[in-house]
Amino acid sequence: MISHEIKIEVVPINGERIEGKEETVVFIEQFVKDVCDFSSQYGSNISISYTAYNIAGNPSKFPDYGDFPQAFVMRTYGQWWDKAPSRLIDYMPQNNVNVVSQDYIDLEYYQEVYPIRVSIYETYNPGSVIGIWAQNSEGKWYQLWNGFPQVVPHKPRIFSPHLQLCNFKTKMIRLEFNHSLLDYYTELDAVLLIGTSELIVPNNLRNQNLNDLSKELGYLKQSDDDIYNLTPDYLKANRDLTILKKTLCKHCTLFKSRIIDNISKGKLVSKLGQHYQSVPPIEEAFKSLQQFLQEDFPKLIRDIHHSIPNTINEQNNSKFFILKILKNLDLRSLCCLCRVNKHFNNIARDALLYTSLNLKPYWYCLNTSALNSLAPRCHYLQQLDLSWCGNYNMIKYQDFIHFLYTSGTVLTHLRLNCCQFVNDAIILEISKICKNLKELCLCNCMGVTNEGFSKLESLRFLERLELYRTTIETSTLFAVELGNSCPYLESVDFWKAQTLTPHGVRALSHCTKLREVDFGWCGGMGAPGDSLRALLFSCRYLEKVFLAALRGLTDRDLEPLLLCQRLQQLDLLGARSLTPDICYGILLFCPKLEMIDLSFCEGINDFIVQEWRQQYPHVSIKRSFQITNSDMI
Amino acid sequence: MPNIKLQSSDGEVFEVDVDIAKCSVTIKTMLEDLGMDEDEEEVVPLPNVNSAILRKVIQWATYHKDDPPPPEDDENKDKRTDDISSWDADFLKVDQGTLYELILAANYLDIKGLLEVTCKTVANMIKGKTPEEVRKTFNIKNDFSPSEEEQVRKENEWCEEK
Repeated sequence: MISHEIKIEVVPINGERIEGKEETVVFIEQFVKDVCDFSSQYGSNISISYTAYNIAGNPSKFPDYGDFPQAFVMRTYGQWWDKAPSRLIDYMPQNNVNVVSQDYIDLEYYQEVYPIRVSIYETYNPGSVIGIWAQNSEGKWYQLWNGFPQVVPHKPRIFSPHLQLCNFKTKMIRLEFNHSLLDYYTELDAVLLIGTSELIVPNNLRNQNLNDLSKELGYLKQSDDDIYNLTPDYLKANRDLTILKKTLCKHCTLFKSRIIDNISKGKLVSKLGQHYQSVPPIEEAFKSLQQFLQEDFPKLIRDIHHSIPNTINEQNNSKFFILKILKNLDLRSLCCLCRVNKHFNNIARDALLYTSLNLKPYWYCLNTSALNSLAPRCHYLQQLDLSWCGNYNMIKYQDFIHFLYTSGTVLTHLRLNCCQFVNDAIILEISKICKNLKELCLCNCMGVTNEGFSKLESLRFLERLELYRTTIETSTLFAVELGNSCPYLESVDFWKAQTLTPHGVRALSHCTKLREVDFGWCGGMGAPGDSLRALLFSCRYLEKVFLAALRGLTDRDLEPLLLCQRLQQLDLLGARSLTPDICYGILLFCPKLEMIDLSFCEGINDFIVQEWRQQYPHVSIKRSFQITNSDMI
Repeated sequence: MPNIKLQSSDGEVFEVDVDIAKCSVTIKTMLEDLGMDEDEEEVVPLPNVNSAILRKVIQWATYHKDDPPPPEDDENKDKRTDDISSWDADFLKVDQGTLYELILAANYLDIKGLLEVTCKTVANMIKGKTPEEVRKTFNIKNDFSPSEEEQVRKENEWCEEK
């Protein structure tokens, strides 16, 4: 098996010739060994369909195109989830870069390499990869590529964006996704990592890495439809590297030889060369050091001697205006301001600027010491999003408990999605310290057990609780409890909760103000009997109803939906016995309907779906399909 | 359209459409609470705003007179600084002194939209800069001792690079 997943090739290259021996570099092409972490998967933990692990190993379906359970699929697509009543609004949105990452997956490989190319095998609805990161041996992450979500043709694609030169070895790659432009779920089959045993750089200094060299030599054939992709023709993917390998001696050298040749100009600089890790390489670092010594350093000395009158910090502008201005700043800029002078160090740490803190965009660098340096600024902290942060031991649970003690007492909103350090001890402290909590998001916190969940009952003001991919086991009891004690509930999401039964669903019909329900993949509902009908009948304000993969669903269960005048989104995926009648009725009687998913509804044929698409152009009718390679030829 | 006369701190009088002047909550309240009659030839003195700045403020208010009223204070909205319209961006291509005086005037006259956009403009002058670049931009002296500087560097460098 392994031999199929790794391809190794030894290629000669120019380097220091020790005893006349020719230097070589090893090219390694490998598929994913293991999935270490991810934020979302369509399949459930106990299933092999549509789960994250399907991205491991060789491509199994490519170049077939369509909805295949053997692929990795995430939970959302498009903007439907952002339009639903339960949408989450980011705190401190100024921290977000142009494109927000909505999901990630961490991929481990067999061998550490200097990455040259990452090729992503997309088998359904391509275009949502927006970031590629690599982790070094010390656990630090660096971004190799970032881009915008793309609208590309509905075809199988190998996507290989132009990576930056990476000066360290890695065997851990993170992909980040933004699904906002997708028509339907994206599916990924495999991810190939191509790298070398030694860092090699083109001889010609103007070119930064092999991708640039390949482009300059004309080996790369790019396409106008898919401009960010180095491998638009999947039949010829990465062939340019094969050609390049044959002429490697002519065009490239080993980076370590280069350093010794080019900058042996002093102890300090050669030391710098050895340890220098980040992009861009050598000559830039050399230049900036030169510049610092020649220009900035003397200026620094001058500045220490001369006092320059300042215009912004003390005169007209009172603290009020400065705070007003600084409230618009992202955290990185605030931290930078602290370093300007004493006055700004004081004001940029003002607790009023840290009432709502979104740390998710800093997942790659937020560690314990960062958390500790933020804690003294957070006395008035009300909203904290720490999602995605602290994994791979960057934050330990004790560190976060310490943070809660100093800064958690007035928290009302806390998001800890995908934080591996969250455990029962943390939930216990949250339940004791954060008495005013209204919102708590614990998606993918697999470290919390029933003991931890039982502590949540002391949070009396909770309005929103997210438990996607947690190990909570008491869905039915929980539903009954909700039905009895929360008559004003607006949204419930039991997606993939296997233990929810018709009894629980019936109890929820007391919540007549519900605007959103998700019972997708709740296998325990079986044939819902009258329970779903009762719920849909008593909840007239429903806007979003997701009932994916409830195989026993009948027309009769859905009849009350015809009275839901506000219905916008309806997911009926996999409801095998539904007839066209009920769907036609919903299209006819629900004037606000925007989206209906009829994938795998075997009782409704493609022809009718096509007809409805013509007839109701304002409704996005989803219907997945499969095209195998033989169909296309 | 009834007009109103506004007098700047240096004595210049500007005649402005009442509806435009009322985008200043200060002036609006003055007219409503103090019962200043719109027909009268009375002049509203604005002792905190000079003529150059008042001219700019009126120019801004005239362009924005048909804007929808600004939303209520919401902590999570309006904090993006990349949404400044191109007209506003051009309008605010002024020297730092003028920009700060506009902030002060917008605050005194209570014109929320102008205050937001001017503050965002200053914020954008800070964003993405190194500490040294901020010092240069705003002509600020570094008064840290070397050991203090080392300390603040340690506390704040964690989020600097990707």
